[in-house]
Order: sequence, then structure tokens, then C-alpha cells
Amino acid sequence: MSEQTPFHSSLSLATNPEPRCPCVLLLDTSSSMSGAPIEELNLGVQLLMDELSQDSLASKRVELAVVTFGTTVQIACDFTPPSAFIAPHFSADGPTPMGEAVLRGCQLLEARKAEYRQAGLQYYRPWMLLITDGEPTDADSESWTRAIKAVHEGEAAKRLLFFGVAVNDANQRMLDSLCPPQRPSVKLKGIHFGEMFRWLSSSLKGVSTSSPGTKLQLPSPNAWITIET
Amino acid sequence: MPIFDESGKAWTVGEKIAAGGEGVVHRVVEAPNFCVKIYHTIPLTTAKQDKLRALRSLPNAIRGHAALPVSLGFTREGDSNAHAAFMPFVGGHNIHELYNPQGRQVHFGDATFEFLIAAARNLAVAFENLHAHGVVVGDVNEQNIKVLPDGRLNFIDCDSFQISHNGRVFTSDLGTPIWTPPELQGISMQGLMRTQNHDLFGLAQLIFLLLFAGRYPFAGRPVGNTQLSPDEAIKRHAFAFDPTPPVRLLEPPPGAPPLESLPPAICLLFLRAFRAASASARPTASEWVEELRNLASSLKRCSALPAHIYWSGALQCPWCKVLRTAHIDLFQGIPSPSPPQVGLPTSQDGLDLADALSDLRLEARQLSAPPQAVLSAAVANALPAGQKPGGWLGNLQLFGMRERFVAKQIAEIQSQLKIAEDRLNWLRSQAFVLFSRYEAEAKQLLEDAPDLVEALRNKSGVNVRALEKLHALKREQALQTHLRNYKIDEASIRGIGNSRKATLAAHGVVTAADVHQARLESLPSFGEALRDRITAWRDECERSFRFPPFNRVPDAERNKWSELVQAEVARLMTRGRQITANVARLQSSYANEFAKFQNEYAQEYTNRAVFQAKIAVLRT
Ligand SMILES: Nc1ncnc2c1ncn2[C@@H]1O[C@H](COP(=O)(O)OP(=O)(O)OP(=O)(O)O)[C@@H](O)[C@H]1O
Repeated sequence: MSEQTPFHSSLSLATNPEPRCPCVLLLDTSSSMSGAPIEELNLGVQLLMDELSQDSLASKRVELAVVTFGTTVQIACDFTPPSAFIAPHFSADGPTPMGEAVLRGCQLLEARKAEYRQAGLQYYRPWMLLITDGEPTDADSESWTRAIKAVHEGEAAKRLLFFGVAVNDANQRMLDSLCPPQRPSVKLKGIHFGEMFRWLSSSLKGVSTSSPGTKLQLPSPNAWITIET
Repeated sequence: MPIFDESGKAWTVGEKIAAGGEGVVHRVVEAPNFCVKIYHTIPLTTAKQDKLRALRSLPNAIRGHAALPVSLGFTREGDSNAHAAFMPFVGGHNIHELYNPQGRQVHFGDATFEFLIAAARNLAVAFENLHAHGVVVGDVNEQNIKVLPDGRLNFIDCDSFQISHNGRVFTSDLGTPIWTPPELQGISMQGLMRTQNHDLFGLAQLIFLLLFAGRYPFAGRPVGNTQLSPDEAIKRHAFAFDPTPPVRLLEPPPGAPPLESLPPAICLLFLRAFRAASASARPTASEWVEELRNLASSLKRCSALPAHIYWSGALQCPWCKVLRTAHIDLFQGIPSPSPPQVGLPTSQDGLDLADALSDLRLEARQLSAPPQAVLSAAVANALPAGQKPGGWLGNLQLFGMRERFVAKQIAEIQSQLKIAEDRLNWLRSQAFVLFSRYEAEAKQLLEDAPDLVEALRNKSGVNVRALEKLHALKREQALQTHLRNYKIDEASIRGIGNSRKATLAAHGVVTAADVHQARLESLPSFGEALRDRITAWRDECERSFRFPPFNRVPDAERNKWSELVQAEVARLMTRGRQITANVARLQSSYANEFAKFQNEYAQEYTNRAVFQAKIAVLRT
């Protein structure tokens, strides 16, 4: 017996059957981000979209979703191709429910992957990039332990690539307990979100074109990370 | 700074075309047909320079298919270390812009299936030529082949070819996982000796993509729990369209044309290219050239939608099938949307089309009497002047028989007159039936017209308004997404306890996005006070929603939107033109059928006039 196909996903599939590379941004919009950091973050996300839209192959393959965490955990944008993305405007307020945000991101990813499978679309290992300037306010909750488990298991099974980026006074020790052991968090230079998002854009572009038989080669992040000496 | 060629001549570096992993490609100011690639690693290794020289000396026969270097480039005259290479500039677009339906619509406008076959054949011809001269492309991929508007193709990035020169082999060293044949998956490309059979995997995949509207042969719906990465799918020969695979890992994706919409000879070539046995002998470029030529000469046009062209042996039009199952028209024959303009363009054509559409209707035609002159002529013809009908009857007068004869004559003509009159009435009723039949058909054709007219007027009108509407729409979407984050379940609203929450949920009110006055009013046990509190909670949730107002939307964003609007207008216009054309077709067949009735009517009308005239004369 054949199954019914949801109209929507077959629509985008039939006009663009390129393999997809989903990427979730988890953005800290707690009150400590207010002022310059949140403004830079807004500009940075816009820059990421612009850079990706200009690459005609990447714009057919990369899909972005944005989850913000502050007063609540919110899906600011579900998976969209860069050219159709209208950057939401983030404002900063509230605590830092980081664990819950990670879980929400994972949920989004699972749902999207199911849609890909249903539509017969290939996809690359999904990316998840978390940016925070604080520490999880839900660290005592079950969400936090479940989030750590989701990231570590996803990484181990090669189902996920997780990147943690610490801004200003972020508690990097906490962030590192979330990050996969082989890829600890990195610290952003000042609030140079632009450079970081440019790096993300060129890394994503490289996902489908890197050479076989070699490890995924990412461009150097030196332009935007602080290396502790 | 100029770049010197091997003869010592200096050239000015022009505008940058693009940057790649190995170097940046620029135009050459004095030679618009050439470009120069300036490598990142300076100076180039001797091996690389030797390879560039070897490429430069390849026979001219393959220059028509590949942008081979024409000279090395140097920073100083007489320098011995090259850092650049000159090569012909290749126009057109990357091949993925042709096979991907979205890219095709933007860059190749109304390219038909016939065009795709021609391009596929040209591609096979290019491989045939390179292979005949011992070249292995190596890094076959979607960004190294450019297609010209006339369907010819060229390889670029030729310094990744694998060639042998004077007994020395220069390997390609590059590869791309989704273009790598199964037997090489996971192997490092550095220094690897590749064969033409490896290339033939990439060729078959490119041809598949061109003929299957951008579908990858190894992408499909996973069967059971199999989850294959793109590279694994290739490695495991999971050709989704294989009708009889040893183990089925993937099913053909929904909305893809079926394999059997192509001739069996071509299907067999695909099977030979993608099945496990392929590692030894994939179809050669010449085999593809041959079969694609056969295909090109056995195409037909779909009777329902003429933009659909397909193999004449197929049972049904594959593109109609996709249209029915996935609701996507892969060949609409739409012209590509005009390039984005600065500012906010209006589309006069769209408005004109809307006007034309709104006036479109099938007018009833009335049967008309032939002109008086025709009637008089016919009467005159039947009753020559001075001659009375039955004039010879005069002789009978004597015998007093005239009256009887005349009466009989009149009775005879009167019965003919009656027949003519019946016939005229019948024709009038038939003309009416004919019109009703066509009118019903026209109504069907015009069913969407009012909506289309409105959409066209809205979208192609003053575009600022269209953009404002789009902005409002995007804002509304974003607002709904925002509101969906607030669950009633988790909210504390005075008077709404768990049981009321359950009632709300049972009626589909789960998040703030579901709160609508009308819906609340349909709930029996919720009084006005409760309703107001729920609405107030929803408004509270909306308060934290942020969306840039229309005048603060960045220009780049607005341009993007106006592109969206334009693409939408283009789509609406295609639909509108289809309707206009269909109605015009209907009108002309109505006119044809009506003309037959009209002829008969005119004939019968004339007969009647003649009969009447005869009777009148007989009575005198
Ligand atoms: N002959 C040419 N004519 C027109 N454009 C060209 C030509 N050669 C290269 N380009 C443009 O420059 C880009 C980079 O060129 P090329 O692929 O040769 O560089 P590369 O450094 O080897 O890149 P990659 O890392 O993609 O292999 C191409 O994608 C293409 O857009």
C-alpha cells in the first residue's frame, strides 16, 4: 500500500532535489546579551544568510533554523533555505535555559530529517552551533542532562556536529561539559560575530565539496577565536 | 600589477570572476575572451608547473570542450617561476543550474526536455573527445562544467585533469564524495591513478540528473530503517530507480519521473553505470552519444500541455504524472523572471493581462438572416422577371382547371415552407444548445480567472503595495510562529484550571496562536470574563514579538522580496496566458461549429423567402 505524501515537502523536493545540509543556530538571548552583543548578533545572522545566498550551490543545499533562549525557548525560524530567510530581530531578556534550547533544536532536526526521508532527499550530517555569554540556568534540571546526552550521543554516532561558542564572560567550563569532548568550546574574540558567521558560511559551503577519504576540513577559525595563552 | 605570458607580453589583470580552493580567477583587460587564474601558492611547485605545460600542449581537438591553459603566467618578464595560468574565458552557467529545476527556471528560462537531452548529448561528446585523447577528467563535478545558452558545454578547472605527457602521469588528486564512483569511495585521491571508467560514473550521474529533473540516482525513500549518507548510498550501489535491485535499500522518491519513461536502451545504460558490476565496464561516452541521439529523434509533445516533451514510446507523459502526484510542473515553458531591478519594479504586463482576463468570456452568437440583397437575388433567380410561376398554366385557363392547379401548387409550396420554418426553428434551438455546451466549458476554464485577476492586480500593481502585503504576510507568519511558543498548558490564567485547559485543548486551542474570538465563543462553558482573560493573555504573549516595520526592512531584504513577488507574478502570468489561450481555442472551435449552423440557417432562410415569394405570385 502506498503512503500519502505531504504536499509541502514534495513541493520543495520536486523543484530542488539537491542533498540538504541542515544547520541549527542556538542563540542566547538572555538579558546579559542586551546592548551591543545582541545587535552584533542580529547583524551576524543577517550576514550569514547573505553570504550563503550568494553561493548558488550552498543556497540550494543549506537550510537554517534558529532557536533563541532567554525568557522562553523559542523557534525564531524553522528550517528555511538562506534565500527565503528573513532574519528575525532578536531582543535580549530573561534567563538562560540552555539545556531546553538544545533539546528543542534536536527536536527540530529530527522532524526535518523525517521530512527529508519521506521526500527521498539525501542529507549531510546536521550542524548545531550554540552561542552563549552565560551559563545554563537550567543546569539543575533534567533538561540539562538530557541535552548533554543528546549532544554526546549524536556526535559519537556521527549524527550531529556540535559547536559551542563562548562570548564575553560565558562559563566555558559548563559549556564544555555540553560540547563533545573532542571539540571543546571556543571563545569569540570580543563580539566579532561577523567573522564567526563568515567562517560558518564557508564551512557549510565546504560540507558537500570536500575531498573523499579525508577528514572534513574546516577553514581556520583564527580570525574570530581567542586562543588562551 | 600586470602578468606576463610565456612570450613576455604583459597583460592587465581585470575584474575578479570567482575564487576557488586553488586560486582566484580574473578577467584579462586586453583580451575579453581570456581569463587568468592566479594561484594561492606562490611560486607553484615544479610539478604543478610541469602539469600546466603538459596541459597547454594537449591537442587542439579537445580545446572546443575544455578551457585548457594557453600560457603560464609570471610576475616578471623572463621569470622562470609561474604563479598563474591564462586560459579561455567560458561563459554560461554551471551545469547544476541546468539540471536543478529551480536553477533552470532562473538561468535557462524555457529550456525544454529536448534541450536537456541535447545538453546531455553534448556532454557525452565532450567526454568522448577527452577520452579519445587519453585524458581522464578525474574530479567530475557539478561546478567544473559550464553550459552555454545554446546547450554546448565546456570543462573548466582543467588543471585537475589526469593526463600523461612524455611518459609521465600527472594525477588529478581531487575528488568530490557525491561524484566519486563506489569503488573509490573513502579512498584518498592524492596521487591516485584514475581510469576513464571512473569518469564514466560521473558522466552517467550527470546525464541522469539532466534527464530526471535534478534527481540524484542514489537518493530515494529509505526502505525500513536504512539510513544512508550520500556517500554510503553510492558505495552500496543503492540506485533508487533500479527496478530489480539485489537488495532494495531505496525506493524512487515521490514526484520523480519513472525510469520507464525513457527508452529501454537508455535504462540499461543507467543500470550498467550504477549497479555493482559497473566497476568493470560502465557505458562509454560513445554509447551515450548514440543512445541520446536516438532519444532525441523519438520525442513527442504532450497533447494536454504542449511544453511537456517526452519519449514517444512512454505510456503517458511523465511530466503530467509529476504534475498530478507532486503538484509541480517541471516544464512550464515560462520565460525566466527578469533579473532583479534596483528599486521596486511594476509589471505593466501583469496588469494588462489581468484586464484582458477579466474581460474574457464566451459571447453567445446569434443566427442571422442573410442580407436583403442575397434574398432578392435568390428570389429573382427562382422567379425570372415577367414569367409567372406555372405560366404555362395559362393554357389551362380555358378548361377552368387553373384554380385547382394553383391551389394544389400553393399547398405543395406551403408544405415545403412549413418544413423550412421548422428547420429554422430547430437550427435556432440547436445554436442555443451549442452555446450552452461551450459556455459550460468556458466557465470551467475561467473558474480560477477571478482569483488570478485579483492576484495579478495585487502583485503586479504598484509594487510597494505588493511588498507591503508580503511584509504583512511574513509578519503574520512570524507572529504565528512566535505565538505557538506559548502553551496554554503552561500559562497561568486566572480561572483557567487544568480541566478548562483540557477543554480548550480538546477544541484545538493549545497555544496562544490558537486563540481567536470566534473559536472561544463556540465553547459552551466559557463566559465573557474568561474569554477576555484568555484573549488578554494572548495579547500579553504578542507583546514580546518583534518584527521590523516595513520602512525599516533593509534594502537587500526588500530586493529579495521583490524578486519573490516577481517570480510569483511570472507564475501567475503563465497561468493567465494558459487560460487566455485555452479560451481562445474554445472560442474558435465554437465559431467553427456555429458557422456550420449559420450556413444552414442562411440557406434555409433563403429557401423560405423563395417559397413565400412563389406563393405570393401564385396568389395574384
Ligand atoms: N575558464 C574559465 N572561464 C570562466 N570562469 C572560470 C574559468 N575558470 C574558472 N572560472 C571560475 O572561477 C571559479 C574557480 O575556478 P577553478 O575551479 O578553476 O578554481 P579552483 O581553485 O581549482 O577551485 P576549486 O576549489 O573549486 O577546484 C570557477 O568556479 C568558475 O566560476
